[in-house]
Parts: sequence; structure tokens; C-alpha cells
Amino acid sequence: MNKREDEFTADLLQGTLDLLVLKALTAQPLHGLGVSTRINQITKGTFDVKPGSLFPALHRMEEAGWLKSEWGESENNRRAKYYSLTRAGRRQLETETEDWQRISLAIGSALRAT
Amino acid sequence: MRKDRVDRDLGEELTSYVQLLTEKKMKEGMNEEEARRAAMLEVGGVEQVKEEVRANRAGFSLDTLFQDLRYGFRSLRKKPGFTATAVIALALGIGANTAIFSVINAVLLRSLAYRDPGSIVMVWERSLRGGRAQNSVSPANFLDWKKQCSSFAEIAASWDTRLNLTSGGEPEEIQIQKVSADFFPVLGVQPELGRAFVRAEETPGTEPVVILGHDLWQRRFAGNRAIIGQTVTMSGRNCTVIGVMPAGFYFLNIQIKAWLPLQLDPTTEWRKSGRFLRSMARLKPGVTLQQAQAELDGIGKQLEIAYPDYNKGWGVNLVPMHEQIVGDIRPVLLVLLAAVAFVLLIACANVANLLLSRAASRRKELALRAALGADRMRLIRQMLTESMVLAMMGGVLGVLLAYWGIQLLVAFAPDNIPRLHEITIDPRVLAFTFGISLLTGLVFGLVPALQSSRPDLNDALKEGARGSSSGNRVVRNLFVVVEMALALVLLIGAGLMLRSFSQLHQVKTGFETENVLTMRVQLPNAKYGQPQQRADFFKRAEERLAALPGVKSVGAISYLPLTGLASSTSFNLATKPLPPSESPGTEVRPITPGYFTAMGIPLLKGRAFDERDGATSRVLIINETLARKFFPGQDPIGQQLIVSWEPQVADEIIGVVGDIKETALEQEPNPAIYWPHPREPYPFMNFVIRAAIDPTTLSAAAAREIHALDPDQPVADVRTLDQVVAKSIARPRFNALLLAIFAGVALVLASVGIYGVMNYSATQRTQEIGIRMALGAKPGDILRLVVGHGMKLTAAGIVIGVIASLALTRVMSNLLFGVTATDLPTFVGVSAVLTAVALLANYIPARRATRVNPVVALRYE
Repeated sequence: MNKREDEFTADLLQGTLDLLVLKALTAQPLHGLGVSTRINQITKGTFDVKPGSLFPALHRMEEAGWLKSEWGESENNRRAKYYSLTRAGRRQLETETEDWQRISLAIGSALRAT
Repeated sequence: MRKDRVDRDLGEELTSYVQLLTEKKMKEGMNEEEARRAAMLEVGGVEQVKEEVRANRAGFSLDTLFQDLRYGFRSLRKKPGFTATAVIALALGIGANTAIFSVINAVLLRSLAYRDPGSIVMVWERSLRGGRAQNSVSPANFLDWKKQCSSFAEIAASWDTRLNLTSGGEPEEIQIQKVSADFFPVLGVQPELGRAFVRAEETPGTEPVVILGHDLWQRRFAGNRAIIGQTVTMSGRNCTVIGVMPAGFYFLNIQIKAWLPLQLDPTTEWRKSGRFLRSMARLKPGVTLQQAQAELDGIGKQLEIAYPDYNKGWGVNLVPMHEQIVGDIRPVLLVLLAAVAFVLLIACANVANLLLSRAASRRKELALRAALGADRMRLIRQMLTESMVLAMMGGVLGVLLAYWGIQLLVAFAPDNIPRLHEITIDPRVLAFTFGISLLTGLVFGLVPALQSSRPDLNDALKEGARGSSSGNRVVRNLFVVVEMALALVLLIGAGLMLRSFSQLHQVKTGFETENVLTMRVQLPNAKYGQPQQRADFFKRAEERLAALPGVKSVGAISYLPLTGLASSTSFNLATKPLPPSESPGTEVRPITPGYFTAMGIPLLKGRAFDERDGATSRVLIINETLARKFFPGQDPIGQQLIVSWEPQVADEIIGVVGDIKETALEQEPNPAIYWPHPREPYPFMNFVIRAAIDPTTLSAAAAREIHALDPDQPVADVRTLDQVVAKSIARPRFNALLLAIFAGVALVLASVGIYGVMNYSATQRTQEIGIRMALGAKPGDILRLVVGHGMKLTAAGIVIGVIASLALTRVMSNLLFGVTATDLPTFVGVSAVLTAVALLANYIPARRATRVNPVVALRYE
């Protein structure tokens, strides 16, 4: 049952999750939990990304060359893996942002139409 | 290695995530234990997350493949019995396919070892009246084609004959090919040493030259490269060796050991002689076969008009080289390929059934894996990988089987199968095997994988290892029906071939084959140029051989029956001669006086030849067919015939002998004329020695008698008459044998298949059977119940098989003799055999089912 819901959330986020992860990482490198906390913050609690969706996305984006990762120390001296944007990742964020704005404008106007 | 590191890395990352999350929750006010539990809950399952991450990685497919492979190997190792059965079944199927494909590859697919073989054609004469599409070629017509035809870059002629080689060892009769200078250019092959023939060497009277075959050069001249320029003695003539052909080179006849120039004297009146050449040509670039054929049709027409006596009713027929070589073997190979494909399908059905039964007992394992996060695709992949592992193991073993199979095949195959020695397992064959192994794995693996990966997890976990859905059962039953049907088609095919062969074997030859030794003696022209010398030699040889102890009678003939060779010409009744182009054809066979007695051919009327019938005698003996066709209701003795070899004289018929099968066992006899040997003193004769003892014990003594007459004279082809006959039907026997072997394998596989399914379903029904027995069913009832089920499937399989056979065996009709493709006894008999085998395969598990103890069965849960 649990799994079902997870999948549902993941599906909903499929297009936007990448964008959110990229956005979350613009200011500074973050570890996994940091990314999910940051997304929660910047979406004002709308999106709560669970590890089951987060980690596959992080690894996929790392393989795509948008992110790079390295092991570091957390604020309370825990070993954690930190992700940061690559140049390709920044470019990707730009294009995805543009795409998203175009789409959201279009959808918005579509929904306003009578 | 890298994968392991990445995996460990991911594990650490997730652990650190959980820790960080726990700390975060503790900061929010939970105690440590609560925080940890909440964090774990949020993560879900660490393994599931890992699985998701892996599924998203690019290296995913490869990783899981290796994982599946490992898993597959492990689970196959756990069930060695199952694995062995499946692998053996697959190996038989794949091995048979590999073997037959390697034959097809060598014979049909691999291109000929000539340059641009696609533009080489055979040029035959076509006899409209005789109905022969590929008749030997007259030198006169060959020379005219060569002069007039513009479609060919080159056209050449060849003629196979024999010579006695006396250099480099014991005297030996070898087969040689006399070829025109354009022969090697037509084929586009050069000698590996020395040079090919030049045009000047086509002129009669030039210094004799020879090109040796690679094997002969190695065997008799130790591969000595200095042989070029030396002379070797062939039939008493000293020939200068000018070249050595590369290993493996041959043209139509693999027995050829050397090549000599064909010297056609343009001043000879070739239109007075017979047609005896083979002709081959290379099309000019850009000229199609149809264009060349059209041009030659025109030339043929002109020649018919210009030489009506000789050419009326004769045309020209072009046959592509490849077609010439493999044309008549192709249907057989395709039938065999179909047969092995059936064997493989049966093996697939078998293994699929095994997998289905096994999948049923693995349901718990699969359900567990599904519950642990494997999705359906993943399970299907897993099971397919296992099937592939099985198929590949079958493939590897199959290649080994095929390797041995091919050795056997080549050893037992009749030597008139073209390109036989070229059969090897080459990369193309291996690719084929790999391909069919993959396909096989997919075919037998897919249905079980789809069936058993169905996500009714709850049921599966509840039902435990025993459950088997009804869908599963239907599929299994279907497989049994298919297996039975396929096996029946194969068995009927094999049955037809065997019956056909036995019919062929029972054909009356017209002569008696027991205890007869045959051997050929060919006298060299240089030494025996005079006709009288040749006549004397064979007369004295016959006398000497007849005097050997243990010999009952001796005779000799130009060509032994059933060796596919004959001299033919036309003849006329002296009372009503017809123009040459309309006169009937006959075979002419020079014989010595003892021939009919030694062969056991009955003299029906008149007398046989004796010492009175010499070079100048004007007598002949005819066979029954000629007598029946041309002297119906009359006494042929004393009648006169004109044989066109000597059109100026008429010969008197002095005897009529029984017909014999001359060309082939399946062919009706042609009209035949026997002449006394001195009349037409061929330089070669085949001795027929009838013995009172085992004839093979006479061969050394017989050769000694020939050497006593001429120490340089080899004897060749020493064999029994039984062997001669057997060789003439070696091909149908080989076909029947191969099909029978494949059908036997199919029968075994199919019966193992039905046994497996019945055994399994009887085990499944243990509880039901127990209840029935508890309620009073007798063992007989149970037996009927179980066997009845199996026999229903068998009956369905047989009905489908018979229908399929009726449609399929038709393609074999050209390969059959004396039986039709829908031969009722074969269909009935084979169905009965299959039913009997299926009954047995059903009976054993049914018998076991009746021994079920009801108490135990009811507790069986």
C-alpha cells in the first residue's frame, strides 16, 4: 500500500522533480536530506520528496552530468554525500525553467479561458 | 568491481541519510528511539530504495543481467535433474539443427570456390525428343557455339576420363579431366605452382603437358616444387608437368586428380561422333542469363537447320553453376531442415513444460521476490534469463553434438552429395546456433515466464508450493498436443522415406548380385593402340580369371549397371529405316562372352556370344524391352538392325536377354544392344567375377592375373556387385536414415514430454485421487481416469498431426519411390506406434497414482 502512494507521488513529480532538485542546489551543495528539506522549504511545504524518489533522481541526474557529488562532513560532523550543480546542470536549469514558465503560462491561460 | 563500489557507496549514503534524518527529528523533540523509527519509516525500505536507484542507472541492464545470470546458474545448479533433462533435450534439438545447417551452409549458402561464381553457367544440349534437359555436348556444336556466341567472355569444354599413372609409385588408375585452354579462365582459378594451359596446347600433336591436382602432387610426388618441368608417365606417354592446382580445387568431379589439355581436332567430322563433352562458360559482364539463353536459342535453331540429321530436336540449355551443383540436393536438405526444426520445437515444448511444472513449485519463491519489491517485468526478465542460460548450455552442448554428428554424417554420406567435404562448423554456423539458441530460450521461456509471474501473490503464498492455476494446466496440455502433432509429422515423413527405400531395395535388378566381384581395367592407348591388342587382352584376362580356384564364371562389360554411365546411340530396323533425327535411341554395351552367365542375366531366346563373334562379326543381342517395343508379336531372332555407329552395315539379332535395371533402380529399362567386345574394343572394361566363395577373398588373386598379363596394368574399383547396387541407392538410404534418426529423437522427446506432464498432473491430483479411492473408486477406475486424460491429448495431437502431414508430406513426393505422400499404411502404422508409445508414457504415472494411499493423500496438503 505504502509503495503505491510513493509511486503515485513520484509519477506526479516526474517532470518537475528534476527542476526542483536543480533549483534546490543553486545556492550551495547539499546532501540528500538537505535537498529534500530545501525543496520542502522553497515549495512552502507542498512537496515532500521521499528517499524512494529522491535518490533515484539524484543518481540519474549525476549520470546525466548535471550534478556532481563528493563525500563531506555535515554540520554536526556526520559523513554525508554532497551534491552540487555542474555547468551542464546550470544550463539544464535555465532551459527547464524557461520551458516550465512557458508551459505554466499556457496552462494558466488555458484554465482561465471560458 | 565498480558496481560493488557504487553499491557500497549508495548503502553508506542511505545510512547517512537515515542518521541525519534521525538527528533532525531528535532536534524537533523526539527521543532517539522514536526518531530512528520515524526516519526508517519515512525511508521505506533501504533495499527498495537501492533497487529504485539501480533501476534508474544506465548500467542497470548489465548489472541485473549479471545478477540474473548468477541467480539463474544458482537455481539451475540446485535442480541438477531438471537442468540435465532440459539441457539434453535442447542440445539434441540445437545439435541437429546445427549439423543440418552446417550442411546447408556448405552446400547451398557458401559461394563456390571460383571467381565471381554467379556468372559461371553450364552449357548443355537439350534433347527435346529424349526429354533430357542436360545432355552432354557434341564437340561440333561446342565449336560452333564458341565461334558464334557473343554472350560469353569465355566458353570451355571438359571431358572426364581415366589414365594409368606409372610415375611416383605403383601403377595407379587415376581420373583426369581433359579441359580446353579456357577452362581455368572460365572458373577464374590459377594454378598454385606453374601455369595454366595455353591455346597452342589445344592442338593435337603438341608436346603432352599435365597439371597435377594438389593431393596427387602431395601423395605421389611428396609435394616437390621442382616437379614443374619434369615429366610423368601417364598411360605410356611422357607428359611435362606445367602446373599444380591449389588444394581443394575441383570441378564437378572431386575424384579428378589431374588436368590435361582437351584437343579437339577441327578437321575431325565431329557430327559423325557422339555427344560426350561438358561445357561451361563465363557470362560477359552485364549479360544476363536470359539474354545469353535467348542468343543460344537462336544459334541452336540455326544449327538445327544447318545440320538437320544431327541437330534436329536439339537445343541449348544454360544452367547456373550453383544450380547445377546443388539443384538436386536442395529439396532433400530443406526436408531435413524442416525435420530438425520440428525436433527443436518438440524440445522447446518439452522444456517449456518442465519450466511450467517447476514454476509451479517455485511460486512461493517468486511471490516472495515480488513482495520484496521485484516488479513483474523484473520477474519475467529473471525467468527469461534463466531460460537463456538453459538455452545457451543446450547450445554449447549442441555444437559439440553437431561436431560429432557432422563427422558421422560425412563418413556415412554417399559420395555423390556435392561439396560434402566442405562441411565445417564455421562462424556462420556458430552464429546460426547462437541465434537459434536465443530464439529457443525465448520460445520455451516466454510462456512459463508470463504464466508464473502473474501477480496473484496472496493466492500463491497461501496455496504454498502445491498450487497450479487452471491456465497453467491448459498451456501444458496444449504443449503436449503440439508435441504429439509435431512428432507424428516427423514420424510419418520418416516412415514414408523408409517405405520408399524398402520398395527401392526390393526392386528386381534383373541380375544376381550374390558372390560377385567386379573390377575395372583400363588399357593405356599408347600401349594398346591396336583394336586387336585390346580384344586379345580382355579375352586372355577373362580366361585367366576364369581359371582361378573358387571362380564359377567371368565376363566383362563396358559399363557396369547402376553406375550411371552408358554409351547411347540411335538405331533403325533394317526393314524400315527412319531419318537419323527420328530414329529411336538405344544403349550399346560391348561385352565378353561370359558376361550374361557371370551376371546371372537369363538368355530368353537364341544364343549368347562365343569365340566365333570377332571384330568382323555382324551380330548383336538385344534386351527384352527392345524386343517388346520393336518386334511385338514377332520373333526378333534373325531380324536385322542398323546401329548408327556403323550405319553402313546391318547386324543380325542372335539372342534376346532379360531386362536389367541399368540406369537406376527406380528407372524402367531402356532398349539395349549388346555387341561382342572385339567389335567395339573399348580400352576399358569392367570384369564381373562370380565366385563360389566369398568374392572379396579373390581380389588379390584377380589383380595378380592382370599383372601377369601386364605388370604395369593397374586394376581399379575392386568391389562386389552388392556394393555397386548399394552405392546406387546410397542417397535414398542416407535420406531415410537421417530422417529416421531425427524422427526417433522426436519420438523420444515427445514421449518424455507426455510422460513428464502426465506424471506431474497425476501428482497434482493426488488428493483428488485419494478422495475418489476413499469413496470407493477401484484402481482400474483411477487408471482409466489418468490414462484417459493423456490419451485424449494424444488423440488430439494425432488428429492435428495427420492433417498437418497430409499438407506437408506433399513436398516430399519427389523424393519418394513406390509410395505416395499420403500412403495409408504409413499414416496408420505411424499413428499406431505413436499411440502405443504415448499409452506407455501415460500408463507408468497412472499406475503410480493407483498406489496412492487414500489416508496419506487426504492429508497431503
